[in-house]
Amino acid sequence: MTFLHSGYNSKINLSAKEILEISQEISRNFTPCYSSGMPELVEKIRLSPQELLEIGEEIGRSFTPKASYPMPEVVLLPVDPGHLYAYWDLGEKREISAGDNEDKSPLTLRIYSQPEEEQATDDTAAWFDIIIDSPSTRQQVSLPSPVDDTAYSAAIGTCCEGDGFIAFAHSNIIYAPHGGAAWHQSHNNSTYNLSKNASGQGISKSA
Amino acid sequence: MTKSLPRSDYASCRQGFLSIILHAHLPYVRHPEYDSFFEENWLFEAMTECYLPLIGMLDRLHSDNVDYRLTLSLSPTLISMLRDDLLQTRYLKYLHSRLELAEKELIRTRKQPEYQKLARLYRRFFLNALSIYQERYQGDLLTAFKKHQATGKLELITTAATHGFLPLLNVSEAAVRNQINTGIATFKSNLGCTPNGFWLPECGYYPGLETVLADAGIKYFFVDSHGVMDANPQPRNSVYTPINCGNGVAAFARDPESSKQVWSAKEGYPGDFDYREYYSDIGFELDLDYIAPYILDGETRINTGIKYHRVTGENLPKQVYNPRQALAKAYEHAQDFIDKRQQQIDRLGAAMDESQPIIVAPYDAELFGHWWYEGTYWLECVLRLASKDTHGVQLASCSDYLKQQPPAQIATPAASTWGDQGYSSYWINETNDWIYPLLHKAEQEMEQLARDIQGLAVTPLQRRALNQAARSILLAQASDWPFILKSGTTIDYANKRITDHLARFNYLHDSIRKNRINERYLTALEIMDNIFPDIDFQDYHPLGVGKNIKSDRLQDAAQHVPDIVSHR
Repeated sequence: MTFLHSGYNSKINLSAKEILEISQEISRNFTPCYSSGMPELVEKIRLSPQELLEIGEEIGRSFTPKASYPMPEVVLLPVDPGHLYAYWDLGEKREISAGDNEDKSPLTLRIYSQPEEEQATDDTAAWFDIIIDSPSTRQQVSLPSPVDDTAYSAAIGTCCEGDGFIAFAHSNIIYAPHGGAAWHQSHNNSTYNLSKNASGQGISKSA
Repeated sequence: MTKSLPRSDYASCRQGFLSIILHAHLPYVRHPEYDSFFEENWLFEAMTECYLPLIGMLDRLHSDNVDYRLTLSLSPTLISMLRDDLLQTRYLKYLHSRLELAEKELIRTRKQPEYQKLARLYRRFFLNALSIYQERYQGDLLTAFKKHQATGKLELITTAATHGFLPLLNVSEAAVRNQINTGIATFKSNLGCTPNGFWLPECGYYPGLETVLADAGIKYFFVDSHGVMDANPQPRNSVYTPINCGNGVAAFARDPESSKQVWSAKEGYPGDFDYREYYSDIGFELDLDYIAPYILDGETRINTGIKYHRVTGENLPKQVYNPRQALAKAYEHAQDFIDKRQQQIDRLGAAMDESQPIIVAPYDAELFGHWWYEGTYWLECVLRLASKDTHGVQLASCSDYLKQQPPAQIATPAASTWGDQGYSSYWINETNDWIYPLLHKAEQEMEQLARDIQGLAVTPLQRRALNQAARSILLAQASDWPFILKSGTTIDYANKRITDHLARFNYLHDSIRKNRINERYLTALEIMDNIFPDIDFQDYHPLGVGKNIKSDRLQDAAQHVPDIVSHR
């Protein structure tokens, strides 16, 4: 197949068929207003809507996002005064998961509460454990008693004899939101914007 | 930028202030890869029913010399779409199609006088939209907003680049910083000025955010009521004066009372039985054969914007909409709104310290005209009524207020949002939690890439790929996608947007690392995601060193250092 190039220092070679298709697509679809707005965009490459679609779909198929990390990791996120969110990845320790041999210590998420962050260490901080008994790698965590200005961190690992804990990864430190006025009010506060629609727009009226 | 009133006016004539803020935002829904795309209608509907009527209102207020004050937050995604040639072209097509439908309706309803009167109204409405859009502003709505900003009566502010929900992006400060800085840069390059105020997406605040805002030159932002009511220390004047976050940035809080009067689906004005019913639309009501040319692919029913019924009441057959009655009700509601603010200010006057109270009333702009058809008229009545000297309520922008009364109390607002329950649970729950590990991982990889490249020369092609990767990250971070996943509306689209933007990032990341950048594919991504033309990938370096090293790194391809492709 003959490949063509633009002669403008482009390294792109196009077959006669591709040239024809692009030409037809441009004639058919390329409106005068079509612009990417990119200052660096090399105008010599023109793509039809169909080509854009195909490229978009191919990339979407081939590069599906996957959250896997080479190293074990656990991340905490604040939700509200009563809840945190944790997600984790065991990296190369993935063989340790729920449903393994019962003799093995179960995977455990250890949540440390650290009211005074600077003094917090694994040895001194209060903590509670959550046994991970499902294959899921993320979980909402209910806080036993919401306390204002409490910092939290977490570790993912397994318990061992005594109070021992083998941590595969430690999390970031986060602050749970205050448990103030809004939290103690009814959660059905109608001033909150409960019914925005798909486009992020306004309220909806009952039909 | 905003006009200040002499202090004597503030102190002697009026007892308190009312600041109305409209937040205009839509996610980036531009799809050049399709001849037409349903979600682009979100923009077209909002332009027709909200933004153009809003501009019409501003023009009328201006020509009547009304001394109003209004703040409008324009999101960077919306700004970009309003300036986009392709969407402008498609919008004209959309508007002509609506006009054609309204004309067809004149014929169909010729034996139904009540309906025909409404069909005429819609024809006039679309013609008016076309006139404002094409003749008055030549397709550039931003010019219209700029014009009114120049009068000092309209204050324009902005928000995060793609409306990223900052409390859940805060695993990385660079992510938050880039959302904020790119948002402000987009505003500046399109509106020609720096905003004083910043709309936190979903009013999502966490302690410490004020530092990033201060670094970006922001003077004030908004939180929901409990963000200030639960501040540390607790403020003396509740939500009725701003607080200084300790670094000079002021936090204004939403007033619960005025919010409820408009927002509440049960008690709010928009649910009044005389108002137009949003959900009664001929796109869903008329024969498919008749309506086919105006719906999706001729098969899937969608809103057309032509609606003939009023809310009427629960469990009652819908009655025909009566515009005169509805507008009279809107005026009545505007008067009620101002009266209630006056009563509020009277009450507050007795309880507050020497500061004059400000009632902050923020709303989604798209509520007005789109969801609440009469909302724009209501707003116009409110602004006209409040501008008269017959009561103690004075309209003010937050910038006006800060010039006159800098916040006296230093306090740190509490983490909060204006979403359901007041915190982050709407944006992280069992319907959408899967997105966060993916978003955070992509962010980490982008930062690592910026770190690895620091000090190395990059070719123009590599730089394009790196900048496009940064665009993909920002687009994936929009708060709209987890919101839609939770609300359950157009879930497939939200899923696809997140996964496509992340896949595009992954593709670019992989190509850059392997030094195998396909220019054709890159061009395709640049065409599809053509937002933020001035973005600089180097800003993803966690130490923010990008701006200092960029231009002299652009070397000839022959000089580039291929080591950047090595995997970490």
